[in-house]
Amino acid sequence: MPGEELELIRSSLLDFLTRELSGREQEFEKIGIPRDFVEKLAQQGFLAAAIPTELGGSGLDRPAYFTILMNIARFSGSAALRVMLLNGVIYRVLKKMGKEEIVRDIISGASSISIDTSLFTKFWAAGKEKFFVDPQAPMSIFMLDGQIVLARVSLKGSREFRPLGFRGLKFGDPQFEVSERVAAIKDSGKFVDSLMAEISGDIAAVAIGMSEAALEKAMEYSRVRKAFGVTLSSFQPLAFPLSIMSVQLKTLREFLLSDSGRSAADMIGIRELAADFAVVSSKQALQTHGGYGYIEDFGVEKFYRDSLALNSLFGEKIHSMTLLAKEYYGEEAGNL
Amino acid sequence: MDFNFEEKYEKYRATVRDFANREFTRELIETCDSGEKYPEELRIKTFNAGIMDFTDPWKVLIGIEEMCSVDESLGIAATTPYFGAEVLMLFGSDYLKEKYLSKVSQGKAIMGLAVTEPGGGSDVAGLATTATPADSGYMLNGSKMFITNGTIANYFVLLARTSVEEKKHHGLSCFLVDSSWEGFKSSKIKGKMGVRATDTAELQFSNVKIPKENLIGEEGKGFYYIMTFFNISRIYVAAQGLGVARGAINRAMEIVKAKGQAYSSQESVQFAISEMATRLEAARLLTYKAATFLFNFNPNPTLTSMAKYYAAETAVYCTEKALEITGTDGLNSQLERFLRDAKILEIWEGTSEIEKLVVARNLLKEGSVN
Ligand SMILES: Cc1cc2nc3c(=O)[nH]c(=O)nc-3n(C[C@H](O)[C@H](O)[C@H](O)COP(=O)(O)OP(=O)(O)OC[C@H]3O[C@@H](n4cnc5c(N)ncnc54)[C@H](O)[C@@H]3O)c2cc1C
Repeated sequence: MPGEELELIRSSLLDFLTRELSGREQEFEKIGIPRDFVEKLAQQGFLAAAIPTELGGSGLDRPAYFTILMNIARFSGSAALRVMLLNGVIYRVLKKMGKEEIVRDIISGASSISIDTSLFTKFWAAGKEKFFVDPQAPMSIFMLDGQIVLARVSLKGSREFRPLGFRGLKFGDPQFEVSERVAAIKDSGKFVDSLMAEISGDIAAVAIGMSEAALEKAMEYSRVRKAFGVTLSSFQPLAFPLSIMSVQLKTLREFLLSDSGRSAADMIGIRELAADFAVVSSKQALQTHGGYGYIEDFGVEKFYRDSLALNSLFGEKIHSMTLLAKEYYGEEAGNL
Repeated sequence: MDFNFEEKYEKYRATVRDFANREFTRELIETCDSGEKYPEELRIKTFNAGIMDFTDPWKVLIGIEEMCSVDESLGIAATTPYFGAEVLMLFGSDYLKEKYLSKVSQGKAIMGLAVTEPGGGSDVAGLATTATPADSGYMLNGSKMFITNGTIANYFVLLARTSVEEKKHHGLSCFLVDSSWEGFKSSKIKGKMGVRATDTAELQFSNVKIPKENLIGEEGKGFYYIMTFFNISRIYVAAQGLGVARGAINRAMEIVKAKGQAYSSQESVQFAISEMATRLEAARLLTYKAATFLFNFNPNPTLTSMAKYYAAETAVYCTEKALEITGTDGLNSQLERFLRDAKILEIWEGTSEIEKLVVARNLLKEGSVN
């Protein structure tokens, strides 16, 4: 997509977010992403950004889609993850199953699908509760006997969690009965490997957006807050890391957005770099705010929580690192 | 050099650990965390169990460490009713000790320490709350921010400006302030990232009359008293960090093992465990060394600040790593709360930045490291 078009998408998205989300970030975190916001996202074409137009999506290319994820994540990691789960995970799973037409109902809000995030987990802990996003949904994507299954379910109950991050989304361990098994992916292990590679850019985009917002907040705060008679920006232990992180951020963003020719290895690599960077930069932002950083209403600690959750939700780190090593070596590597 | 504790301390450690494992039920932990509720019953039980034995500082340290290894938030809530008491013990008059400290040490009253203000916490000498001489004492005006036990404490050790003439830190004095006095107001601060069982508040003072007997020690020496206090309390914050780090590593290892041998044999997972445990061991040695100096009445502020920031950073490092190697299983476990709780350790009682400055400035003054 040409630069001007990308800029157009970015500015209309920013207008939209400033109008619909700005100032409501805490509300999203506390009571969940409001339905009307998701509907408006859909109307504006941002919700199903990367899904083909034939299926009701916007059919945008990767730089445009990443730009959308990044900018939503600046305001709300939860809202960005909602978009990412639909475009990056649900749509891809449905497509693999040959059931992509179902995505129309999800985009229109007529239906919803819960996802068991442990489908990304390669090494299961015996006896642990499941960790579903949207556990109350009438359809579900989950692991059953080593296969990824899509089913209509009837819910018997659900234990909801107050998760570390992305609190605008609902997480829980649902108990349900399968009323109709719609489809399954047989070679799920291989599919998960390819899915992890495919969503790497999406994860990086969310991570970069959150880092950007956290660093901006820290910079702003350090320009006005005073200690020992001077602004915090005078102190090297704050100004140096915040400045160098701003450069790192720019590098990551430019690398991701000029991705047209990037290899799978590059994308997995940038996921790892961006996700780690989100943790480090949001922690620095929190620390810069001192005691205020520790209070939810200041809206900075959530970036730290969200980035740690982002690191854990989509598979073990060693899983994506093994994929990365394999891509770079061109053969199995780093598997011990 | 003997790295073992005497048997009485090992026994004590086991007693506290049993107590915390028994009393810090999952239900209590979750209720206090989600509802930001102070566990008053637990405070009383902890007191009755004699856990915070101020006659022996090693017991206090071990008690804090053990409790925080089970749950930092409850551990701190149960062990901070005496927060600030050391200032009274060291510098308070017999009258103040008799009138206030005795109630606190009988578990009948709660204390807090009020230093930080909305305008700043690191720059202690820059504080703006004033205690101006009035008829038979002082008149207190101003506000304090992020004060632990703020809405539940009966008494506060409070630092206020008594003189604007002198050098900034010479014009400060400590007072014992009773929260029932007229003009004293406290409002709970809600929505902390972690340590949600602890009570945190903003305090406001509008023409609060302080009797002159409630001046602690000498006028103008408050800054020095508070720094002396920090040299004690920072050791206990380091102990909080040791507990959190240990609790996180053990929980992470449980999950790693539950994921099976195929996972626990992955070398990068093993490296993470190894690095967490090594840092914990280093933080522990540093903390115990700093504590040994302090408890032998020979405090070493350099070591204390090293221990405080290193143990705090170790706690944060370990909780982050623990989540990293446990994935969604960790997110959906007590580890997520360990992480939220840990971060405060790098902020309160001297941020890591301030501790590092203390270390460097002391070392530069001394000219060499040992
Ligand atoms: C849950 C909680 C409980 C607390 N309990 C108490 C309590 O009971 N009593 C009490 O008095 N206080 C309490 N505090 C306050 C705490 O001690 C302060 O938050 C802390 O000292 C930092 O002060 P600040 O928040 O004003 O940050 P600031 O002082 O504004 O600092 C902001 C940032 O600037 C950095 N900074 C400041 N000066 C320098 C410098 N010279 N060089 C480099 N970096 C610098 C800091 O490290 C920090 O990263 C509590 C805080 C919290 C969050």
